[in-house]
Amino acid sequence: MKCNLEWLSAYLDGVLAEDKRAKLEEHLKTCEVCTAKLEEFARVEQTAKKIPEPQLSEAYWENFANRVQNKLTIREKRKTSPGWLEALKGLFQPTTGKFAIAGSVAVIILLTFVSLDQWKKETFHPPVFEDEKPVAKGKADSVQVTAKDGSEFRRAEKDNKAGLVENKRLDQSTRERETVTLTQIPAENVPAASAPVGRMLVVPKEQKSKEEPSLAAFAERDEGVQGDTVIVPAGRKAEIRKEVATSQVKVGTEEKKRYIELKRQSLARLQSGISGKVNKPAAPDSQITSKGEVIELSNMDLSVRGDTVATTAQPNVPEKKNKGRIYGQNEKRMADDSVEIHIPGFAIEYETNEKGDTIGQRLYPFSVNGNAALQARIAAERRADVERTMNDIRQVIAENEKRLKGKLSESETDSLYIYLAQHYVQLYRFSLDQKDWEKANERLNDFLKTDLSETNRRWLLAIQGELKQLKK
Amino acid sequence: MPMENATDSELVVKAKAGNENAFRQLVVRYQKKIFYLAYRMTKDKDAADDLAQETFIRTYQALGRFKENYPFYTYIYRICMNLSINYHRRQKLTMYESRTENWEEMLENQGIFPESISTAEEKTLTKLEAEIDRLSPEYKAVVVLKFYENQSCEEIAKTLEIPLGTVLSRLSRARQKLALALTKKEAADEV
Repeated sequence: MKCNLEWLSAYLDGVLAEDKRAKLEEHLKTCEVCTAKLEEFARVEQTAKKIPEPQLSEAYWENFANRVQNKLTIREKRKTSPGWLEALKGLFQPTTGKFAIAGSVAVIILLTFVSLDQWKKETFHPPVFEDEKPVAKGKADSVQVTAKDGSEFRRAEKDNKAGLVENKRLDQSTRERETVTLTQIPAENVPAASAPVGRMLVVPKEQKSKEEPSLAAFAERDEGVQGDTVIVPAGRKAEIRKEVATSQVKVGTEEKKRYIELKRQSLARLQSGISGKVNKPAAPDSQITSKGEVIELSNMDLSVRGDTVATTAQPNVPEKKNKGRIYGQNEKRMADDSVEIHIPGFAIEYETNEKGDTIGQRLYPFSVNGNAALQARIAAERRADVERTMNDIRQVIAENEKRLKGKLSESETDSLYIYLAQHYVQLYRFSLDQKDWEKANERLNDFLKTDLSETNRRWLLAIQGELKQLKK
Repeated sequence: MPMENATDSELVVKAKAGNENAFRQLVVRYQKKIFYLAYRMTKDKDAADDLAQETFIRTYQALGRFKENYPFYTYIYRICMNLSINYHRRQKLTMYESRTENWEEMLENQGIFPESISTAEEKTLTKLEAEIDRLSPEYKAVVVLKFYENQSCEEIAKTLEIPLGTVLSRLSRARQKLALALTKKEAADEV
């Protein structure tokens, strides 16, 4: 039979039909290719099983079912909720004054502001509260309430009026963002009020006096949150829509700016915690990640729409030897006229041995200056890396010394000598151990004593020269 | 009888009758399985979280149509797989959006600088992981169910609602592709 990979796969799964299996087994006795493939297939599966998976906290699993239930409750409510007109009537008990609903023709525009949640591409899960009762009238200006999933919120109590009150999430450790939701307070529980409350605005048919807040004023007074409602008469729909569109952009920009500022502040706090400094804010052109790494922001564009962009003057560098030089995209001219290569977001660390010879270089995705903890970590990694490399070299040497004892042709022996000599030298370069140097020198002398071709002898002598140079 | 010891089908019957705790028990029982199933399909914790939640919500909403004599896990796996495959199709459009924009996430996911500190075996695992991720969602679904859920080919056919022959051919082709990637990588290491 011909080699059949589909049969092999099915054979591995134990689903190959009896007759085909017999044929394949016969074939496998003679076909090396198929035998190798079968092994490969099995190995793929074994290796795949070793791929690590993320570990999640116990709290995540404990809360999982609650979150499912919350989502379900919300969706079921959405399904069974009455039409928008009824909902509107129930939601909005007409109060006195200029903000009473004018007529029955009202259009709801839901201002869904561009919030952080969307910006971070996360899903917004509003909490579900057990109690939908009004907050008690007390002296404190807010009370603590608990949502069904156990997270705690602070509910503002400043107005005590019908409408919506804010719930602010107390526990910010699990989610960085601030969660603000609204709870409806029925009108009969609180005295009637004349001013608009919460986050609801009714725009009158015509704007009669300047005292009436416009939609723009509303947007400016408060940052909007998801779920804000604005009731607009049909006659002013087009005008208001336009206004909404502009204020959405504005609020979105403000939010983004605020987020960046908050992030900077929290990173600065984090930095002071790690380095032990007190309240020292991060330099404006760098950020500290939660792991303590510094991210240079000089190459990252954090400007948002609406930012004023100021250009900073270039430092006054005296023109010297590099006059007329064209600097590459990643090159930076330093104060002392030297040139540093800057790859955006990365820092180059040169590895040196004790004598200061450069033995390698690597890239780190941030600058490590001034961060002792990180430097220690990198140093430890580097030590481990060097250790590993030395072990590899030792292994190569051991294997090839063994090969040298076997039967080899003349040219094979010669190339093995050179190969080994290079590895001995390399080992010393890493370890700087006197014993390694002596061993290398001893072996090189042994090799040179043998009957070598002229080219190979010169080559070995060059390696020996390098070894002697290293010792100095 | 306590809920913890009840069989899946007993819980399903109770949940159908409106017992919320019974459904909750089913969620607790399968949450890890479903999350990791979704994670292996997406390689994205947030997406896996969303998909896992959505799986249970869809399951609940479709409980009325569920036949009790049918294995519950096959049913829930199918919902999860279909959601994951759909997610991939949607994702294809936005695939080239850089995921590494978020530095913190990148560092968290990859450690300090993986190329310089990982061992040969870690490299192989990373390579294979990437190769599995690169499979089309239909092939990946078969591989995930076979390799990680240890489902038999017949079970996979039932879960994904495709003919057994299709399962076998997809599995065979996926294996060839992965084996090739693995051997290529090793050959490159030896040089």
